[in-house]
Amino acid sequence: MPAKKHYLSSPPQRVLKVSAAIVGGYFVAASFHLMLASVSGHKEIVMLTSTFSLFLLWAVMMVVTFLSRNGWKIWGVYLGLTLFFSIITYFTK
Amino acid sequence: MKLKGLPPRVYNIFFHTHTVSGIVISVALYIIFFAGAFTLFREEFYQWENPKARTQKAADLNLEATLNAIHKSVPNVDWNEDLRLMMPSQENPFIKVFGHLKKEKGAEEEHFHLNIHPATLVAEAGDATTIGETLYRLHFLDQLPVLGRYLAGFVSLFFLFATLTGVLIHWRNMSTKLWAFSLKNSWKQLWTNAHTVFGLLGLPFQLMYAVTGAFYLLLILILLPSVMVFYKGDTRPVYALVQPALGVKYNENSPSKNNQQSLLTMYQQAKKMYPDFSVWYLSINHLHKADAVLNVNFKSKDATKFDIYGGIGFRLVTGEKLYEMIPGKNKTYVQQVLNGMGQLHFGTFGGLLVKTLYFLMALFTCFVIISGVLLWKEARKNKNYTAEQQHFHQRVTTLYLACCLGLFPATPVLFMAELVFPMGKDHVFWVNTVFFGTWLLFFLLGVWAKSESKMVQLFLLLGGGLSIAVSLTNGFTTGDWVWVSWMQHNYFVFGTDVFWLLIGLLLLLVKSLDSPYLSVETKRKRQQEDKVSV
Repeated sequence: MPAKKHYLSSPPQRVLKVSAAIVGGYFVAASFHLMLASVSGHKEIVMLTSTFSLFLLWAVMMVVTFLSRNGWKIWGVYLGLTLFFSIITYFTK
Repeated sequence: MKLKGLPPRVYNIFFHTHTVSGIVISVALYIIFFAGAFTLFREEFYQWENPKARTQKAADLNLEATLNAIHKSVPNVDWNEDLRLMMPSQENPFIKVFGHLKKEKGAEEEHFHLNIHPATLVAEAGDATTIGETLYRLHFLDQLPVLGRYLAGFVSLFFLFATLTGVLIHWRNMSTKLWAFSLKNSWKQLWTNAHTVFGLLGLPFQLMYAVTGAFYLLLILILLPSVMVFYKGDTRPVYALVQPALGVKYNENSPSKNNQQSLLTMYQQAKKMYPDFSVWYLSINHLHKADAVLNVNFKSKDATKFDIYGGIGFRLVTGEKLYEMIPGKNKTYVQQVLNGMGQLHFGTFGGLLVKTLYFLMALFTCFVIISGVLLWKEARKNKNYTAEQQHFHQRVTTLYLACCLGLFPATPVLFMAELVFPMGKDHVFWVNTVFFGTWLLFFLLGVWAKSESKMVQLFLLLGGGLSIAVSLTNGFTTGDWVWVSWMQHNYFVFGTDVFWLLIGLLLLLVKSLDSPYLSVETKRKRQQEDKVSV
C-alpha cells in the first residue's frame, strides 16, 4: 500500500517542491486574485470572495506542484506567473 | 461502476503527499476537531458551567440602570472608548459587558468583562468561568502563545491539501466508497475502509471546515496583498466594508458632552425600527463627547434565515443615521460573505439539530484521522520494513493515540473542575491546570498501557466513569440533580447532565462488548497481525 519509492523525488528536489507548493502556491493564488480584482473592476467583491477562493486555489496549486518533475522549473513557472499577474495588476489598478 | 483512475506515477505521488501531510497534521487536527465539537455547544452549556447563570428568564435590558451598574462596579470605566453590551438570551441570562479602562496616554489598553443580571443588576466578573473558553481556545491551539493560532491555520490549510489529494487517490473507487464499510476482515482492511468511507461521506463537511478554519486563522495572508496594493496599507476601509461601524470617524479632540438622555431615546427608537429583528448587541463610542455614536446590532427573529445579522449607527447629538445594513433590505454580497462563513463554521443556522449533526460529523472526522494513523502503521507491517522501522511506526502510533484519545477522559474532568474549585481570583488558573494536568497524566497512562487495545479499554473505562461523574458532581455541588433541573424547566443544565450520562453509559457498554459477532476467521487474522513485530 505505501507509495512506490521510485516515483518519488530526491531530498533536494523535495525541498524545492514543498517550498514551491507552500510559498510559490501562495504567491500565485494571491497575485491571481489581485489581478482579478483589478481587471474585473469589482475590487471589493473579489477581495471578499478571496476569503475562501484564495485558499482553494492555493491548495490546488499545492497539489499541482507535486506533479512536476523538476523543482527548479516549477519554481520558475510560479515566479513567472506571479510576475505576469502582478504586471497586469499594476497597469490596470 | 469504476471511474477512470490516475496514471501510476501521479497516483503514487498523491498517495505519498497525502500520507505525509496527513501524518504531520494528524494530532493537531484531531485536537482541533475534538475541542471544536464541544465548543459548538458553548452557549448551551453555559448555565451548567456557571451556576450563577441558572436563574429563570429575566427581564429585558434597562439601559439606564445597566449603565449605572457598570459605573458602580467599574468606577474607572472609559466611556469614550468602545463599550459593548450583549443582550441576555435564552442560553445566557446575563447582559455581557465588554469595555475599556481609563489609561494614561501611550499606556497599554486595559479591558474588563462584566456579567450583569438584568433584573437584580448585580455585576460579576465576566471571565470567572472557563470550560467554554478553554475548549474554544484549544480548538485553535491558542494555549501555545503567539504561534498556536498560526500553527492551527496551517494545519487547516494542509488539511485542505490532504482532503484534495485524498479524493484524487480514491477517485477510481469513489462510488463503492459510499457504502463499503465493514467491521470484518483484517485490521489493515478495517482501517482502510473506515478511513476512506467516512472520509468520503464527511467530505463536504471537512472541506468546509478546512477552508473556513484557514480563513479565521490566516486572514492576514488574505488581506495583506489587497491592503498593500489597493488601500495603501490602511486596513480600516477594508474592515469598514464588512462592518460599517468600523468606518465611522471620531475626533479625539471633540468637546465633552453628556449624551445619556439621547442614548436612551435613540436606543428605544432603534428597537422599534425593524419588527423582524431583535437587538443583539449595542456598541457605544465617545459617549461623553460631542461626536458620540450608538451602534445597534440586530439578529433576525426568524431562525430559518441564513443571513441574520444587521446593524444601524446613529450620531447621538444630531440623531443623524450614519449607516444602515439590514438583510433583505440593503445588505450587499460583500457584507454577507463573512457572516455566511461564520454561520457555516459555528453551525448556528439551524438550531440544535444542525449543531448535533455537526457534533457527530466532527467526531466522525476524528475517527477518520485516527483510522488514517492506524492504517499508516498497519500498511507498514511487512518485510519491506526493518524491525527498527516497524518499531518506530508502532511507537509513533502509540504516542499519537495516547495524546488524542487521552483528551476524551480529560474533558469531563474539565467540566467537574469548574464546579469543584471555589470561585475566586485563581479559579480559572486551577481549572485549566487540572484539565491539562489530567490530559498529560492520561497521555502517560496510555503510553504505559503497552498495546493499543489495552489503551482503548483503559480510556473507555476512565472516560465512561468520569462522564457519569460529571452529572453527579453537578448534583453534589449545586443541588441541581438531573430530576431537579428537569422539574425547574432548566433544559440547558438538564441537557448537559443527560449528555454526559448517556456518553458515560455508552462508553461502558462499548467496553463490555468483546466483538462477539466477529467470525473466528477475522479474529485469527487480527491476532496474527498483532503478533507481527513490536
